Amino acid sequence: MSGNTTKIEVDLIQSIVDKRNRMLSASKEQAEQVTQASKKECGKIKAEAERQVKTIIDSRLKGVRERIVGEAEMQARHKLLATRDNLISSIFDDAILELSNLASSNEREEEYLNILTKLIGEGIDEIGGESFIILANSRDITRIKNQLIKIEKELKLKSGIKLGVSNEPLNVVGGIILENGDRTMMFYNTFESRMAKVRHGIRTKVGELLEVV
Amino acid sequence: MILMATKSLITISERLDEFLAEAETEADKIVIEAKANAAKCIAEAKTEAEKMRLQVERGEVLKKAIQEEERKAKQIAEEKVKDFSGKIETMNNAYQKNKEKAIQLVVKAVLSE
Repeated sequence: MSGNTTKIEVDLIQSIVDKRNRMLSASKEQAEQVTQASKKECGKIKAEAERQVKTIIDSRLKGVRERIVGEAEMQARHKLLATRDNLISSIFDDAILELSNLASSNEREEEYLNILTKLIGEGIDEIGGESFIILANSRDITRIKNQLIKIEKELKLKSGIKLGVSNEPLNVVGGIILENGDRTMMFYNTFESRMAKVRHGIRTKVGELLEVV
Repeated sequence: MILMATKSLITISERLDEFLAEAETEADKIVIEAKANAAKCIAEAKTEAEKMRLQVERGEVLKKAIQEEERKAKQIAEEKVKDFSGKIETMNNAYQKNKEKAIQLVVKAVLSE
């Protein structure tokens, strides 16, 4: 009887110890899972923080880079464009100088007179009528007055058409302004006015010829 | 005799129940501690992350990086300026080479307009 009781006691104790061990083992396993999950979560938080920090740093550095490089590039580009503009403009200035030389050259007197004749003819065609006054710079006033008959002959003017020359000198490089007799119409045919007309149209062509565009 | 044996069993059973209750408490404690540690670890990670972010936003850790970036950017900028200066020089050379042709083009356009 005593042996049976002891066996029951031992079995009971063993069963309870086993239960305890299972219970502790399960809780340790659960604790391990919680720990692992928290480590994973901490890793995620750290990675996200690092990503955000990297984004902030990259953005700031990009801003610094763009400000410095952009500013320098803009100034350099501005200088390039200004140089290009100056070079093209200087061609027009030099062309006016060339036209001025033509107008004042003794060697090219004949050539210039032909040009003046053509400019006067264009004015007559443009204004129409019978009586005209030619305005020019002081040098050309003398020149035209001296050569008026030749000019009229060259233009093959219809009979009745009268050409006069104004004594009021223009401040121009060359060419003429033509007025009708009653001074109600004017036709600008100076070198400067002709330059102004063509300037915009051939600017790109000049740039291309200079190989600066 | 039977009575004694039964009494002994009851005593043992009572002690084992206590033993089991203690084990249950210990098991709960293990899980609770693990959860507390996990919560603490996550809270610390969040605090650290926020601290890092704020330090960067305040520029505390950026100063050196910005200085380095400025140095690099200035080098790039110098290269760009040099590149543009080269273009300007090329342009000036081309201008000298083609200037006369361009002047004649304008003169011709003015006279034949």
